[in-house]
Amino acid sequence: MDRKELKNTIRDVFYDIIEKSAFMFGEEVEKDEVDVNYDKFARADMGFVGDAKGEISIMVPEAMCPEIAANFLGVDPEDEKVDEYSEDALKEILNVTCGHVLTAIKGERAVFDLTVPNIKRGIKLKEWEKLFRSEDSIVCMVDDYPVLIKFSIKNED
Amino acid sequence: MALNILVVDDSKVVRSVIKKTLDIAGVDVGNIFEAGDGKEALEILDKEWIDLVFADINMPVMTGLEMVDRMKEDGILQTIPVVIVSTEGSETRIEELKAKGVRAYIRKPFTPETIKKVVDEIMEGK
Repeated sequence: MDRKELKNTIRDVFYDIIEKSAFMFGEEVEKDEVDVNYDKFARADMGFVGDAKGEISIMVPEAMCPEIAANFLGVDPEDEKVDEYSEDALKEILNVTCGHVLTAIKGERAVFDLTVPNIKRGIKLKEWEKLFRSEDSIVCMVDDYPVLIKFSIKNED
Repeated sequence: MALNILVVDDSKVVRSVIKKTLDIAGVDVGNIFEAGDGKEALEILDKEWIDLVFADINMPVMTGLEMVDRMKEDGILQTIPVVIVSTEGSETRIEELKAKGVRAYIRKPFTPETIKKVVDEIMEGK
């Protein structure tokens, strides 16, 4: 699987997961079409070891996190309990995406141990732009929110 | 018969979704207990009567696999059906879980229909 195929696979898996889990919909987008009007972002990271090892990260505008949580829970984004669940919701989207990406690229016999996802909030636009410009990042658009995914994998010998 | 169910996942949002899904699926639930990892789950299992456990694999402190191993060492706990709910799709891992006595495996994301089918199959075979 070349780099472009890998990126397309990750994007397709992510869109499928966020649609099934949070009823949010992704659309095809090119990097130069993405306009970012947010100043704070959240990033979730996790790793995996096993038949291959690597890491996956997802960065979204902080404003998107309560919407993901509200959709997971089936409540209004203004609901008082949404904030409490916001971090967990982004971590879970990453966790499920990671599991499905690994199956998609390494097959159903491969075994991995996944780490527990971590989250960092309050990330500034400068850091978003740095990841955005990186050739490794995958740009997605979900319900008009820009989303960046970074994935790295190294086969075990 | 109303079932006492233990949901074990380090994600609050997943525990909440499983509880809601059980409700939507029409599963007759008595009490629902929650644990954030395998160790907390074992403490609840020690104190409460539980009919069915839904557990994730990857959790801090004690994983779902370690929890299942501990349950197998106990004469009473080993009879409680465990359903693993996880993101992993490895057939090798699922075979390993079945060999440990796990009754069913549900891959995230899941639907209410999947949950209902698994609960019905386990309760009919109990």
